Amino acid sequence: MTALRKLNRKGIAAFREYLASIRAGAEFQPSLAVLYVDDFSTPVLPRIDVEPRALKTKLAAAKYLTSVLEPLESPSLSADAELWSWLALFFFDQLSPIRGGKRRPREDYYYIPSSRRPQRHLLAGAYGLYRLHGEHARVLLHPSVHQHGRFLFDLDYRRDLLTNRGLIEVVDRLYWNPATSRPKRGAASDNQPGSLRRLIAVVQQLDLNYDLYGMSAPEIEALLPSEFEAWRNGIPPSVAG
Amino acid sequence: MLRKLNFTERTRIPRSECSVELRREPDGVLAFDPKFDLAGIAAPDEARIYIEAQYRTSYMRFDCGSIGNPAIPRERRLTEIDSDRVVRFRIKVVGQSGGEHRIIASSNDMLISCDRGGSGTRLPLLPVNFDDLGDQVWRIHFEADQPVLELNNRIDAIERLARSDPQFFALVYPAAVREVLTHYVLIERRDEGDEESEWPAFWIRWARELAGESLPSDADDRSAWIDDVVVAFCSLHRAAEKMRTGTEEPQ
Repeated sequence: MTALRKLNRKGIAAFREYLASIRAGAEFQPSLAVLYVDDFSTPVLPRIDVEPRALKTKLAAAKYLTSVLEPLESPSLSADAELWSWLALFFFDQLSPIRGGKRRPREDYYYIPSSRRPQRHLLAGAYGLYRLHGEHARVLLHPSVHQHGRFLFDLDYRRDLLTNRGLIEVVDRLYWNPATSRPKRGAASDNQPGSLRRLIAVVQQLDLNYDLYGMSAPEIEALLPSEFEAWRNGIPPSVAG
Repeated sequence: MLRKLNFTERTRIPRSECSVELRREPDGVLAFDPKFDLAGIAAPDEARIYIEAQYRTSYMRFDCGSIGNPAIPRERRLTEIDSDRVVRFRIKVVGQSGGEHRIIASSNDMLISCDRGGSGTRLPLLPVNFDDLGDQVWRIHFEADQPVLELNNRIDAIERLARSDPQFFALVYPAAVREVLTHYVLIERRDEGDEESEWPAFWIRWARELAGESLPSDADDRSAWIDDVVVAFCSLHRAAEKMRTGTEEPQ
């Protein structure tokens, strides 16, 4: 077990350099001094223990971190860049796994929170969505922990929709397949009637005239046109084949 | 001139009828004080009034009573908003009949003024926000229609520099003014006659007063007009002189 810490300014700068060096071909070091030395990070008090467990999916990561961080719970916790940077470095081997013999870290904001793209942080984004939507966020959080995922990517561009509880429950009701514990096939399609992209387009129009934030999932669903009917009842025949 | 088409029955609440004063609580959390007069809005008494605060993905919603019984919410701290300076506010009047939640009237960008302590309030033309900008020192970002000056929080003492360093002022603010006016006047082709209570109109009015001449209609003349505004701005603030002498100027 490891005591939870936060990176300071020097630690975050060192993390950035570390990411740059890995992109340039340097070897990954699983236990960096940056994580544990007071020059670069400070312990969280009272002590909270974190274990280097396998985080298979973003949902698993969100659930684990929600339980670990419960003593620190506050509305601003999702925005604690120092805390989330430390956690990203702690779990870095899983957040940037070796693929094709090489480790290819993504942009810095996937590991070091940026206020411009807060949802992109692989751990803080998942944590924030789970905290807000609970299990209804499973469509968004089903990808592996190192991936952003198509659903989240599409909703990220209408980021105000991500905070709408009723709408995310609609996304769960329409696109989650309980039989496979994965999103329904075709839900992330560009062209499929009733897909998530279509839902976003329809909701943008509805938002002009309806107080969607004040509506429950069934009330929002009742406003949707008929192209979404098949998704309510299962997988549309055109997708099922 | 940009035309805005409203195919719905939704009424637009004039900006003159709704505004927000933004202030900072002793513990540093932002809070707001709304003012609105919806007497001119045709809505049933039971229609609800909501004010929504938003910045990027963070969002809060405040119930302000009904048309028949409006009420400023007691709790107005913006604890869930991930910004310590820039917030957008929207006010909505929502019908309740038949459970339809239809928006009867709204204003998507309420006017925001900032508390200046004992010296009243002012409407910041160019609010400042601090963000990780990589290797950029500054940039202009438009939050909807409102320009925001973003400064790189990776730079030590950037806030102090922005407030009082004459070189920073001389090198950044005239360029920022030029960029904002270019956006409104040349790219979006806004006019002086456009909606009075919108950000482009505030800027054009301010620029007209500074330059001492109205906004021309010809594109070539508009470029020269922007130059005149920037010259007047630099002259007003003695930008070059302060840079030479290193005299500090509070912002």
